[in-house]
Amino acid sequence: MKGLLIKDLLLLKNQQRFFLLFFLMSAGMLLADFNSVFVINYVTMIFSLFTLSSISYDEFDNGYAFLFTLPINRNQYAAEKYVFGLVTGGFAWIVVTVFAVAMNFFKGRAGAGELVGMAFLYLFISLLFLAVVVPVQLKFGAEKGRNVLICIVGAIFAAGFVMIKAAKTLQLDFLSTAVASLSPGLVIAAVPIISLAAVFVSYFISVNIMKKKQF
Amino acid sequence: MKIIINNSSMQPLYDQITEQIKCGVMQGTLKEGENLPSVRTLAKELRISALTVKKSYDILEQEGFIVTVHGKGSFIAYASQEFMLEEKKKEVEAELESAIRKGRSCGMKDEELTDLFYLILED
Amino acid sequence: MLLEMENIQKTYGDFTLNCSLKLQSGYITGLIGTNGAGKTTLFKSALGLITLDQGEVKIFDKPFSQLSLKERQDMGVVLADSGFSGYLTIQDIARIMKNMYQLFDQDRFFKKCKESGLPLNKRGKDLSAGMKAKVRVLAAMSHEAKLLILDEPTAGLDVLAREELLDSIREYMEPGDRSILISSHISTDLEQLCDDLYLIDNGNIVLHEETDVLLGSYGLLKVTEEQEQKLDKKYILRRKKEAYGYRLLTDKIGFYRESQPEIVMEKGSVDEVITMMIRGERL
Repeated sequence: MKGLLIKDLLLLKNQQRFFLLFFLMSAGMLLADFNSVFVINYVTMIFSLFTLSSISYDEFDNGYAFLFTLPINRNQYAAEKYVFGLVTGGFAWIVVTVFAVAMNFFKGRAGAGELVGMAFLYLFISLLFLAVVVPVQLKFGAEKGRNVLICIVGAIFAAGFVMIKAAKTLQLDFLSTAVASLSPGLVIAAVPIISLAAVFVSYFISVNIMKKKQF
Repeated sequence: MKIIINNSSMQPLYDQITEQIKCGVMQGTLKEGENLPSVRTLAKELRISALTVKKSYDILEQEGFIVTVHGKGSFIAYASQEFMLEEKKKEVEAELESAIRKGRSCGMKDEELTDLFYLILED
Repeated sequence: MLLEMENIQKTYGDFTLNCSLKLQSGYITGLIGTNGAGKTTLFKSALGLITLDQGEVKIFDKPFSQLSLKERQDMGVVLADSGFSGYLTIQDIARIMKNMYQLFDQDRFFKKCKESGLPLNKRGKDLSAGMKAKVRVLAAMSHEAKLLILDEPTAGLDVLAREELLDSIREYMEPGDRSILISSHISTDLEQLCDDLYLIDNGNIVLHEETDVLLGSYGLLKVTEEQEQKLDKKYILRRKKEAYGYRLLTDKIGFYRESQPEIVMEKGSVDEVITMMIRGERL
C-alpha cells in the first residue's frame, strides 16, 4: 500500500495551485471571523475529496489495467483510498484546527476546548462523508460518480426536509423533545462509532466493487 | 573465431553454426579446450533464438566435438581436431574410391587414371 | 512451467478467445497476430485483469489468484494500451517502484534511462510515443523479474529503437533464469528473438512451432497446376491459388528439396507462414 500512497501523493503535486488558493481562502475566512467550526469542517471535507481525484487519475487513459499488474491486489487498492483520504483530510484538519485555536487565543476568546471538541466531531463526520463518496466514485467512475453524488446529497436533504415537515404536520413533537433530551455524551460517543462503522461497511462494499471490475 | 550466419540461405541456422564450428576446429582457429560463448551470448550476438544455438551445441556434443560442463560452459573437446581430420580423410578415401570405380566402369585403364590424377594435382 | 493457459475461453460480443499456451522456463516465447487477433485479450486474462468464461491460468505453477504479493514482484509487465499515469515523471515512477518491488535497482534504472536519452523530470504525457514505450520496458526490467510479459513493447518505435529494445531484452535473458512472453504484430522482431512462436488469428492459435523449425523446415513451394497434381502432398499444410498455379506451404521442405529439387522453393519467413496458415486452403 505504501507504493500506492506515494503514487497518489506524487500526483497531488499537480494541484499545487489549488492548495495554495485554498489555504489562503481558509486563512482569510478565519481572519475575517467566520465560524471556525464551519471552516474546519469545510476544509477537512474538501481535502478528503482528494481521494476522489486520485481515483480519477487512476482511471485516466486506461490506467487501471497497468495498475493492477503491479504487485497489489483489489483489497489494498480500496483500503488505500480511505487511508489517503484520512491522510490528506487529517493533515488539513490539523493545520486548520491549530490555526483556528491560535486565532481564538490571539483574539482573546475562551472556549478553545469546545472548539477542539467540535473539530474532532467534524473530523469523524468527514470520515462518514468519505464512506459514502468512495464506493460511489469507484462504482460509477469520475464523471458519472459526480452526478450520482449530487443526486444522493440532494436526496438526503430532500428526505430530511420531508421528515421535518412530516413531523411538524403530524405534530410529532415528542420526537424533537426526545432528541433534545439525549445526553450530549451519548451523541459525542455515537458519532465516531457510527463513522467508523460506516467506513468499515463502505470498505467492504468498495472491495466488492473492485473485485467485480474487469480491465 | 567469429561465426557468421546467412539468414537467407536454405541451410538451417543450427546446421550453419555446427558446420562453422567444425571448420574452425579443423583449421585450428578453434583450439582444443577453448571456451565457446554461452548459448545466450551467442544467440545475442547472432540475433537468433537461444534454442537454435542450443541445438547446434547439443549436436556438436553428441558427435563428440564439444564438452559441456554444467556451470562452466562449453569447451572444444580434446583430440577433436585429429578426430575431424580422420573423418575428412575417410571422406576423401571414399570419394577417390568412387571416382576410380566410375573410371573403371567406363573402360579407363589404371595408367590413364593415375595420369589423370597427377594432372589434376598439378593444377 | 512459468505460464500455463489451458483451454481458456473468453467472449466479447462476436469475438471469442479460445486457446492454450505454455511458457517454459528460460524461453522467450512469442505471440504473433494482427491487431484484433486476440493478443491483448490473452495477456489480460493471463494477468488477472479480466475473468475467463472457461479454463485456467497458472503462473509459477499456481492459479493467478493464489500468487502472493511477493511472487507478483517476480513479474514485470508491459501493456500496449496502459501504463503509469501520464502525470508522473520518471523520477516519480522510480520512487513508486522502489516501494513496490524489493529488488528494484534505482541506480541502474536511472542509468539506463539516461543512456536512452530519457529526461527524468518530464511528465509521462510530455514524452514522445517512443520514449513512453522505452520507459515501460525499462521499468519492467528494473526489478529482476523472473517472468516478463510484454504486450507489443515495440509498438510506435522506429527501426533503430526497436533494435535497441530487442538487444536489451536479449541482454536481460543472459543470466538464464528468466522467461519472457512477448507479443507483436511485427514478425521480423520476433523471428530473431524468440525460441518458439504462437500464431494467433481471430482468437485461435493457428500454429505453434519452434522458431528454428519455422525458419529451417518450413518453406514455400511455387508450382504450376500440373506439378501440383503430381506432387506428393503428404507434407503440404496449406495451398493458395496464384496466377502461375499454386503456392504451397510445407513444414518439411527438406523432403521436397531432396525428392524434387527442380521445384521453385523458398525459405519460410514468419510473415509468409502466417499468411498461408490464415488465408491458405487447408489440405
